[in-house]
Amino acid sequence: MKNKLKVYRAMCEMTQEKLGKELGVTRQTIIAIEKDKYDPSLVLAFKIANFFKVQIEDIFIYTE
Amino acid sequence: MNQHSGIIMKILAIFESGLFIKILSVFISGLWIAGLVLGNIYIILLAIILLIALGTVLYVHRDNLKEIFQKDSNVIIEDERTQLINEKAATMTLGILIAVIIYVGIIIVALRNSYPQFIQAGYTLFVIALFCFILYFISRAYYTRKY
Repeated sequence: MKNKLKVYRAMCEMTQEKLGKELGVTRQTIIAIEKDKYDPSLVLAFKIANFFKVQIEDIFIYTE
Repeated sequence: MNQHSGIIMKILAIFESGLFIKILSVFISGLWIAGLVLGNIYIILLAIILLIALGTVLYVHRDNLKEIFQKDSNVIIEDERTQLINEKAATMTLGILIAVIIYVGIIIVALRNSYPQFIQAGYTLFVIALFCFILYFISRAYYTRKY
């Protein structure tokens, strides 16, 4: 799964640390998601989408 | 009456706070070590009793343990990714541990003619491996029913 988390985070001018704190996860988790090394759970994906006030599919792109 | 109930609530709050649980855990660990060093079974029994009491408190608050331990801290130390890492590490550790125990047990039992004094250790390792298997399948069955 690909994602645009880094883009949305940059648009909000947020650090990984601050975003992690807002979402209740560690900075390492944000780094892993941005690098496509870790696919977040559905709950965390919804939290991220809600935080940026967009749909999940705007941030996360499913790829085979 | 209200003053008394307020004091009781405060005492209960201290008992249920993360700090109390942490201090009690350290104290119990100290009792285990002291019992082991001094060779005193009563200290070990006291540690077991306190451990059961602590286990009861943790079981009652099992749904909000995370809040209890992290409410005083702004730093997030555990999340879903760390839980996934823990799960994978635990599964691999269990697999390697059981394999090593069985292989060492086989080697010791195979050398029974040369070193007969170690044969009990070999069978003990087999029993430990069997116990690990049984424990694994029980916990697996529990979580299969749960999820």
